[in-house]
Amino acid sequence: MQVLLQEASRGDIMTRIQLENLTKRFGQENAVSTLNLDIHDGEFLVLVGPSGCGKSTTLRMIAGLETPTSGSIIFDDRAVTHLPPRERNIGMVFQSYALYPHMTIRENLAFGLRLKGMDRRTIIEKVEETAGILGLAEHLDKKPAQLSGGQRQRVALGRAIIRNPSCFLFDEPLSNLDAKLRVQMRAEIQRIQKRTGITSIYVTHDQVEAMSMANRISVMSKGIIQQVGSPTEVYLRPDNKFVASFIGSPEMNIMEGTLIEKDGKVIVETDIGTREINDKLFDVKDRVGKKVYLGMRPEHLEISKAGTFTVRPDVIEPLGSDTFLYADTPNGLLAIRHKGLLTESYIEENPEIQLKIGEGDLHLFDYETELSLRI
Amino acid sequence: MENKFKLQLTDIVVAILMIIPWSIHGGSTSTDKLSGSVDLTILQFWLYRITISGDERRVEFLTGRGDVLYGFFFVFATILFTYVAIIRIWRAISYFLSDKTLTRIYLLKRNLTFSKDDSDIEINRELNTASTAAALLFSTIFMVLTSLFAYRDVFQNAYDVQGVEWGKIVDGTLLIKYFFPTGTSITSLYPIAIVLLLVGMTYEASSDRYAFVNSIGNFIRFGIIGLFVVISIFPLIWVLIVSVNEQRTIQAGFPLWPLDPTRKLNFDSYERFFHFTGSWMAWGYFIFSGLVGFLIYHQLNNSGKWQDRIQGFIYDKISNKFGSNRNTSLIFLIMMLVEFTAFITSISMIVTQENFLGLPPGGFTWTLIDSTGSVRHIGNWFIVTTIICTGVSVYGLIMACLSAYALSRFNFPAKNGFISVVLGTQMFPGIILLLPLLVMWNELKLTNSIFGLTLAYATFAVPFSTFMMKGYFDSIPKDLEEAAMVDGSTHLGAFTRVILPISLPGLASTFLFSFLTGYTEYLLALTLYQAPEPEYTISLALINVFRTDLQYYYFPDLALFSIIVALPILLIFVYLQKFLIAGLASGGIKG
Repeated sequence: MQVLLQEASRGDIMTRIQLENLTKRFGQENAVSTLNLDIHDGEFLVLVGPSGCGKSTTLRMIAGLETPTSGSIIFDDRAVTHLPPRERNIGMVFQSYALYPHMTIRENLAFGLRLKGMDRRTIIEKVEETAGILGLAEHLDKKPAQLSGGQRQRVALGRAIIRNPSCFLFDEPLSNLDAKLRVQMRAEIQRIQKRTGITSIYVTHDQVEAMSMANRISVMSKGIIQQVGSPTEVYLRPDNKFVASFIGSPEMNIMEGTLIEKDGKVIVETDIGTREINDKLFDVKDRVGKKVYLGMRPEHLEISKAGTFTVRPDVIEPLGSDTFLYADTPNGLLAIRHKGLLTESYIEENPEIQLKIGEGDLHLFDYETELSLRI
Repeated sequence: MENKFKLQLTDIVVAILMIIPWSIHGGSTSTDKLSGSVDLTILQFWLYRITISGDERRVEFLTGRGDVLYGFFFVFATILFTYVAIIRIWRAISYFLSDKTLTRIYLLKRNLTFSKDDSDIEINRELNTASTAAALLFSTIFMVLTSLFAYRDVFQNAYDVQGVEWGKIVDGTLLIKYFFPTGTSITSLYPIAIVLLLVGMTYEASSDRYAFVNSIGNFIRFGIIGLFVVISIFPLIWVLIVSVNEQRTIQAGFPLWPLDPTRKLNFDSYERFFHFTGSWMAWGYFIFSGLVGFLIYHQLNNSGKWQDRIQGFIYDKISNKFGSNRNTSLIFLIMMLVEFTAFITSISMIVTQENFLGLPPGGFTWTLIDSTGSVRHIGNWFIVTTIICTGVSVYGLIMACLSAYALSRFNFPAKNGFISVVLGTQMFPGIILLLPLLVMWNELKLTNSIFGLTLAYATFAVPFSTFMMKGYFDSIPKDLEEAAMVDGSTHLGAFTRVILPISLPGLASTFLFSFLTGYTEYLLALTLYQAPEPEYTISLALINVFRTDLQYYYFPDLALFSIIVALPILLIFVYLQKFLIAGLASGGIKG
């Protein structure tokens, strides 16, 4: 770690990555379309999105494993768009680990250094050190097949770290691990990234991973970046309906509504009730009479006698600290996250409940463009 | 996990199993009408003479040195084969009957989630083992069946000398015919099939899981289902194609015997086989071929859903019909008994001979003086053959690796068409290329040269090797070379440092395939390579020296030479076999 930290702190391995109008076409299909993204020095950026959204393709283009159809990739001031992977000085962790099965862990770790032409003694030193950091010291002479999934993942991580890359690329590295290991490795990756300060791009479809690890999240869908921002930003101020429903668990409740004006105030009218809209927060003045999407996160809905929405909950899921309530509405399932424990009998006792929500917690999206109406 | 790279007893066993049947090509019988005696060889390893004078039938064992050794060789192989088959089958049975598996199946039934964890890998591994056992069994059954048929033929003819049709003398020449070419094909193709199966035994486990959740019986699970999946991989299809195109049997009658060279002896033998076993066997064979055809289609169009539905339907039907354990054990018992009978018979044949421990006199020399007193240049034959075979293998391997990697990893125009052509070449009987090759080689002045023969063999070895290596490269995840490239390697470097070392099992089997193509080839050698006796290839020598000099094969010499021929290959197998056990690529990628 000492050596790694020293080298990292020199600052010369920090890299700013710029993607300019990056496009990748497979046949007629656009996997990634005119993508612009600026990844800062030492940042941990997570590319998140459903499968097939182009996030892995983007990462592979940054790695040099795919050639962009058009656009450019710039590392600091160096255009690397058409450079092969070996000239980009990157460390990549694959979903499948991709350890070399015919080599021992030691050889796996040393592979990149040997290719660099480093002298034997330094290689041995660095391998021992990296193995020490990752708790692999006693497994160095084993073959990958003899290790558990978590250990293999550590080796893959070690293989990326040991080369002091200018950036780390993670391609869904945790999706093959079980839930417990995933949490552990998540922390480990974060720890290593923080200590080394190496710019990292992390691809995942798991929004929990994205929220918990990222400095910034880039939500992608259909080859287009929907929103880039810090986890809180993306969570609290989603730019459009897709981001709103993708980020957050359980999903944000989204229902159709109509804006009407009553007593000089703008009100959204839905199947389950109405809610006054603060026109200082939302651009609703010119939209009276138009349809909109109303979004409410389950955790922001509060059961209250003073509530303006009325629903009939039919399923209850007590989780201990929280309780999930689900209600059937004409617009689909509505989820409510109640802080505190409710028992099974709650539904019978309260066949109908009122819900309220703070005006800042509301989300409104245009019915056609699906863009947020927040000012 | 055990170390797979250590040479173990089972490695040697499998190696021997793979090589033995290679050298046991068919059998023959010859009748001397004048003296009223019949000489019999069954699978060329034991030999006895039945003399009929008046009412007396006298059975005489012709003792020698080679045939006795040969007999031992075969008995040894039988023991080992039985041992391996039993062990593998036992492991598979006990695995599928174990509580752990049952629990796993129960869990799979409950939530139908196929998470990728260690127990899945275990199931997969056991299924591989089971499929191997199933493949071994399949071969055994076929071998035993065909051998039994051969026995019947031989004995019927032995005791009914008047009725012999295929041992008669025409114009003073003794007419010898291989009596059961199907047996020949199977015995000679079986080893390569096993090699290929061991190497290519990586298939998707989803269909087996389908079998699990549909609670299909044990026998079906590791027998039929295993087979079903196994036969869907390329090697067996190839074997089937070749067995239909088998021309070795035609070689035997061409051009030295007054037999019609165009006669399809193998179809003839299929016909006789079906005649003997009844029409249901023919129907079974017909349906089996249909299934194979379907599976080829299925493999080629893996995305379709209706194929899955049909497969599921078949599994359901099978599971309802033969699910019980009792049937299973009974079937195995019968199989083992058949195997055991063959084993006991051969033992008794060996020990009743005099001088059964006789060894060749004189020790090792480059030449051998045979029973007739002629000097035979055995050493030369080996050198010539080794040069040719090594040439074919090395050339074939280099060409195959490069083209197979390109076919596996890169996209270029007409790629699929090219693959079809490569596969298509395997469908044609090699014999149709004989004349064109002869004309071409004549024009190019390549006839009668070792180089020319090497090149001729390579024309057959390269397409097949390419196809085999493509299959192997396809099974290696792309992530590995990408990881190497990210680690600082060039694409070529990733290929040589990562992909090639992982492909060792595939390389080894491809090398062996090419080597054996040359080692056992006769027809091309006969046509393109007219050499004096000291420059014969082994196969030329086997046929030309030990047959034409004598009225019929002088079996002791031939048998001895057969062992000498088989030994080097056996040694190569024992060495390379460790690479053939699948699993080298396991572990590096996600479990």
